[in-house]
Amino acid sequence: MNDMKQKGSAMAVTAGTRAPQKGQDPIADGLRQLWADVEAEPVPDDFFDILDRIDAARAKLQDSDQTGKGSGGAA
Amino acid sequence: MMAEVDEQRSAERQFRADLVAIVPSLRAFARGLCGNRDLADDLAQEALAKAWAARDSFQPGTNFRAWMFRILRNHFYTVAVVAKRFVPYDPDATAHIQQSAPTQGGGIVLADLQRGLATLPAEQREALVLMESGLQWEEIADVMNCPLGTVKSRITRGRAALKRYMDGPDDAETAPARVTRA
Repeated sequence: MNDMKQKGSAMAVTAGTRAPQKGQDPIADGLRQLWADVEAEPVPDDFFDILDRIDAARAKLQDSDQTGKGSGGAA
Repeated sequence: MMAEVDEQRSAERQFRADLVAIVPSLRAFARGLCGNRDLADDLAQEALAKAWAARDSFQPGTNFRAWMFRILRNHFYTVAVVAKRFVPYDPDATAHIQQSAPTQGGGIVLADLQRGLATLPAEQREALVLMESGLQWEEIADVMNCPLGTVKSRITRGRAALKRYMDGPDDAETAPARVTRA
């Protein structure tokens, strides 16, 4: 979990690989800043909880697949 | 057989890492669609879950960012809006915006810009937001599911409307509620 948060935080800093084009016009700069401000916000834990649930579901699915294949092989 | 399983697990690990990496951008796009922070985060989370469910449809090597934005956008318009869970630019957005810090960006007050965005038709606002998403023109058209010319037209019209809003009308009676800050 902490590992995921660190990844998320790291991406918050590095996200947005577009080239800086400041000074084109105030509206473009403002729109770019709005986007960057949200990207720079800490990601709420809820997002990582969802990924945790996805991981748990994936593990459960893989377990049942293996069980099913094992049953199939024995049959 | 084992090699196939290993390959699949490796692909899923990569997919998961890509999901984690794109969360900040998903939140930014969702915020641009909704205006409201809480609703936007709900939207982004649901897009994450949908992306995971549809992971087999993603072609490795294609643009993951555009694929994710398309999922979020489609969910917003086809499911969320229909169910009236998310209204484009929630009316509460103005209240949220007014509480935000008066950040300066390019010489304009961002809160004013957000209020201006709220006055635009959804398709123009969406095009303007995506323009700053890091996607190329063709990718934006792909996400918005419309021709490139339509994207450019929406951006042109949206920018013009925003500029009019930011400059303020000539007639004081129709002036937007601009906030003057020290």
